[in-house]
Amino acid sequence: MIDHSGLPVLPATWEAGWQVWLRAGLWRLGVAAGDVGRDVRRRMLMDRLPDLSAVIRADWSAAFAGSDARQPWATADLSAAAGLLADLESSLLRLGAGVVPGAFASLLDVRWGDWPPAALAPRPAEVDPDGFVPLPVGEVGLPMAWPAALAAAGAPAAKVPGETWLGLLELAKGLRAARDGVGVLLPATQLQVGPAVRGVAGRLCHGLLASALPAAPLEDVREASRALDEAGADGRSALYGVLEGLREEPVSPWDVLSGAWLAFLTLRPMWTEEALRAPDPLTHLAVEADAFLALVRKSLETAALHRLLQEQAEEGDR
Amino acid sequence: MILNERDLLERLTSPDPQRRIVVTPIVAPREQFGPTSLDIRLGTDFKVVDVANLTHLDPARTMADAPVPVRSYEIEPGKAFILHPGEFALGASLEFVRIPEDISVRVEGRSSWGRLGLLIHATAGFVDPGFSGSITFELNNISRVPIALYPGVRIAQLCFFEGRPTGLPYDRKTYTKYSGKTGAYGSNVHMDPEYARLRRAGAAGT
Repeated sequence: MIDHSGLPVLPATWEAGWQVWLRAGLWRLGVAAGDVGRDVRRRMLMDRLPDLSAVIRADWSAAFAGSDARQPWATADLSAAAGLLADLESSLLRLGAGVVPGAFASLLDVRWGDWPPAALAPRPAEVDPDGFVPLPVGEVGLPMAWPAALAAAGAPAAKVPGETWLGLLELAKGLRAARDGVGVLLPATQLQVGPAVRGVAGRLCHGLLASALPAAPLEDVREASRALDEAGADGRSALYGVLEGLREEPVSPWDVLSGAWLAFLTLRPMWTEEALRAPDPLTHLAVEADAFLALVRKSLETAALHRLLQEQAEEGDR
Repeated sequence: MILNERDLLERLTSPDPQRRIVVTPIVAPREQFGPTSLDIRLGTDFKVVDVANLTHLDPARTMADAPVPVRSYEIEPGKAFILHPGEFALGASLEFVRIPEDISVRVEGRSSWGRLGLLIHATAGFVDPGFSGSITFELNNISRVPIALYPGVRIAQLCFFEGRPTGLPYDRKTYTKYSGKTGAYGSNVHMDPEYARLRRAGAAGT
């Protein structure tokens, strides 16, 4: 199968699973894109969550037991992706849906189309001083009801795997919409791509950490270095002046996540093309996605620490 | 040839990707550059082997059957990881590096830390040409008092050596176990082919 750009693409259902997977990962990172303290606290909380996903996956598998076993995406792939969705849901609920408004919602809204329609975000009055939202305990169990709801609906999608996704997404959308006591719909905004976002995307596309960008153009630094050589200057202060041009400025979480999305759009056709030649396309994609998300996550963490070091240096200089 | 600060400046800004050394982020060049070295900082990831239920480490058996129990710590910036006397922990650099195919790197401690009894690598102080990723530190406190380690402090230095380009860069070696990693990664020694052979021969795990 070839898309309009002449590159091969995965079958639609694989593509859907793959996209959900990566988006879920990016969303997780979005949760961790708050300020430094919250960032670490949220991630630690997330790591300590009981592994509900295994239970949920088992339920999903049962719900799709009637699927055509000859279609690989009808069972394992689908249940894994669905498990991730459910896992993501429960994580967000437990964390108090602490998505940073404005940072991640715009990214999601523009690119995700109708799914998900919006990020869950706390109302200001619901946020405690640490940025967490207290939730009713009953809400936590909600994702567990998904497979049962599908089964109750006769799981028609199980017979038509292509429509299974649509059914799942509609159901998930409905669940989100029904949860009006928890979240609010954030308005969609345009994804603004500035130089920082493009810089981040460029670095990620080359497999580099994208936590910071040069404070000065490297051409300027090269030119200053050449000028120093030609002048024969060997003074320490002149040299330090040139070296200072190598300093990098941390980028914002918004820039990292937006750049990550831009990079993903660039990389996806390449990954897909490689995956189609691999013996196990989904494993190939999983490896690529995991490495990519690890790089994005490390970029967010490093940028946070970099900012702190800068603040400390500025305080010390005053 | 070891690179001095001018060589390093040229390499860090080279428009040629085959020559370009990447070290990012560079937070404070004045603090980080030495005559033949570049200081790097401690990141937020730490890993410690959880020895409570571990009798011994057997790369041929234990590590292949089940991962070594490791406790991971994410230290919030501004807080400290306390490394107790005699304790061993893995840490990672704040910086991400990419080394061209004609450059090798030595990771060295800083004398200020050495004087406090902190070792930053046990034996793996060499970075191959072609490597990219975070630098993993093998932290060991050989003093008699605990040492507080704060993310963001300059803890090690990189010394760059130029040579002929290798035909076996790290990212294209047959057995590459740590390329592209971005945190404190534990040992993958059990993936060495010797251990697969030992397992096949049934000779391991005694």
